[in-house]
Amino acid sequence: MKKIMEIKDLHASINNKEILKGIDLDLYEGKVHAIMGPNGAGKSTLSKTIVGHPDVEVTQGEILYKGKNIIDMEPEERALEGIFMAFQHPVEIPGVNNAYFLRTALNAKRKHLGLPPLNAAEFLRLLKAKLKELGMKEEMIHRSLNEGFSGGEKKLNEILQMEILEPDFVILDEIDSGLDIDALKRVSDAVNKMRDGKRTFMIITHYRKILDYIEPDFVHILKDGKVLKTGGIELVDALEREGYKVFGES
Amino acid sequence: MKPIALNLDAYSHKKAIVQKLRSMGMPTPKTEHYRYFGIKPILERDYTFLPPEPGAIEPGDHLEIVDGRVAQAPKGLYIEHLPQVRVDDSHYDQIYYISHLLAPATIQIEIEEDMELPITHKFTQNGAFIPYRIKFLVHEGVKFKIKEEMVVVSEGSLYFYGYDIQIAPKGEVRLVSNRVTNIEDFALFGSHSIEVGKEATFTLFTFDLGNAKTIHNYHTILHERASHEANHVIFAKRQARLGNTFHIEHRGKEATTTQRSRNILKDRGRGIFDGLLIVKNPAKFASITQSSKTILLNDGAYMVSKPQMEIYTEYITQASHGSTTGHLDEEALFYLRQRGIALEEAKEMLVLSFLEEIFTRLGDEELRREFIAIYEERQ
Repeated sequence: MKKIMEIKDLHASINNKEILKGIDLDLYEGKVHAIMGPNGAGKSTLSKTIVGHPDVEVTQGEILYKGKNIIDMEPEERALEGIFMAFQHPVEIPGVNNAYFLRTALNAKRKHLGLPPLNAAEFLRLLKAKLKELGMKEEMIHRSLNEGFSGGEKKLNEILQMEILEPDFVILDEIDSGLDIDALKRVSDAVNKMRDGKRTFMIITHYRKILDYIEPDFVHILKDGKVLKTGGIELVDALEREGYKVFGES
Repeated sequence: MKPIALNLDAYSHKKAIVQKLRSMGMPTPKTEHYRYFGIKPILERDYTFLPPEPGAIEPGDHLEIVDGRVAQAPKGLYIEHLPQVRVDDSHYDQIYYISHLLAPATIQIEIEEDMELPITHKFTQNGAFIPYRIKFLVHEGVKFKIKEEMVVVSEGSLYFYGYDIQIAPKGEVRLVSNRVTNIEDFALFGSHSIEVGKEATFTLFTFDLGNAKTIHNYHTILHERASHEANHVIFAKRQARLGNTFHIEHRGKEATTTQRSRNILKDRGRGIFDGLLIVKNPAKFASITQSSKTILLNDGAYMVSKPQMEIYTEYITQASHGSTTGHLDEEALFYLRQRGIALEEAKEMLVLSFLEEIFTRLGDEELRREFIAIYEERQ
């Protein structure tokens, strides 16, 4: 197995409060890693740290992505290198057209890869095909980014962006929160379709349900800013039976 | 000539205006609507006074005014140059009266049938002080669209200009002003008076972009069931001061005013939105709304936002006003960057999205594209 990301002794703070207290974690190419943990364990901070959120200050450690430390890289540089995060709460941006935004993002990536930009017609064909695959309405092309979208629509829009941008490393930050069973299944189907043996997924979740649809290769339990345990789906079974106390104190 | 040192005795032939100015006094840094504009260094400067004298007018596809003189006009447009016209006797701005006093003639145009009129103002003189006035008389039920743009190559100059627009009952006037002033040492004072007749409509869009010092003061009077919509965009950068001030008076019942200002300020740019909506006692059942929203792109930028209302009647249908000033939404910015969009491009997307409401109301895709191109150039 080839490592796509190595997180070494990662310490990170938000507003001067240390949240990550020495994370060590290896993530493998083509695998699905589930990250679970109680509230306040540092799951979302970990994802924010990987994508370079400006609220997070890394005080120690490194994140090696494809062998390169990305700690000092800007968020857009990390994105162009193939790191994508589906947000737990996608922001609404009135006035920014969904299709325009997506085409700008895709063409930024294509430029980074040395490819020519897609013109409006080419992009529209691609977008319509993806919308159809995801069972989304075409009207969203003309709507403002996430504005007035239901919770499910927002999450599907994140998946749409993932499909268009074809990242190498995908973080799904509580993508299952607020989704009904049908929407969860659509999201999971889309993720499973994108599992190609090369693309890596990091699924942050509180619940087992999504892991019934997207079978993880690894499960990591986070608590108090550290990785407490790494294993397989059996960790989720234990968690379901006895809660986080089964893993003891960190 | 220093505009502040005006000798009123020399203008005895315009007695009413002189009397008005004597009662108001000359504008000073403490004059409310100039308080934040920094009027003193502009008006105390010595300029070459170049009052525009009427001359030959070439035929063209638009009205072109060069340094206050009509140089070109569409065929069939009847233009008069009148030494004296009836002026608004209740304007709040002294510059309104000064410009009427100093302009040798008012350019008066009667609009008797529906028409669209592009107007280009060219400012070409250096170190000059040039006052001029334009008056439109819009006949009953007539629809009149003006698209105004400015070409500024003048440096170290001061221009006073302004519109007097009288809209007869059921008339409709739509004025779109694209005011790009990209010379830092350039000052423009626009002082306008608009009287909107019974059941008439006045729609205004203004786009102020650039590095100069410009201020526009609007006195608008609304009669019974008149409707006024005003949309303003300010993008000030470097040392620019760009402002709009208003007194909008509801004199007739059931009139409507909706006013929006969206302001983007960068570097040490200053924006001014100072709007007073006045509902007089007989003007029952007015609907008035005002909103000013500002984005400061950095800490040195400054916005003066003063939405105000004075209501002298107990019977009002709707009244609301609000003002917000803040920075770009950091979470939205991060979201765009997480999709690989570079910081500056992400900022531009958010700024343009902030203006989208105005562009949507404008409903003119060509002008929208023009504005975006200008905005991108100005970055």
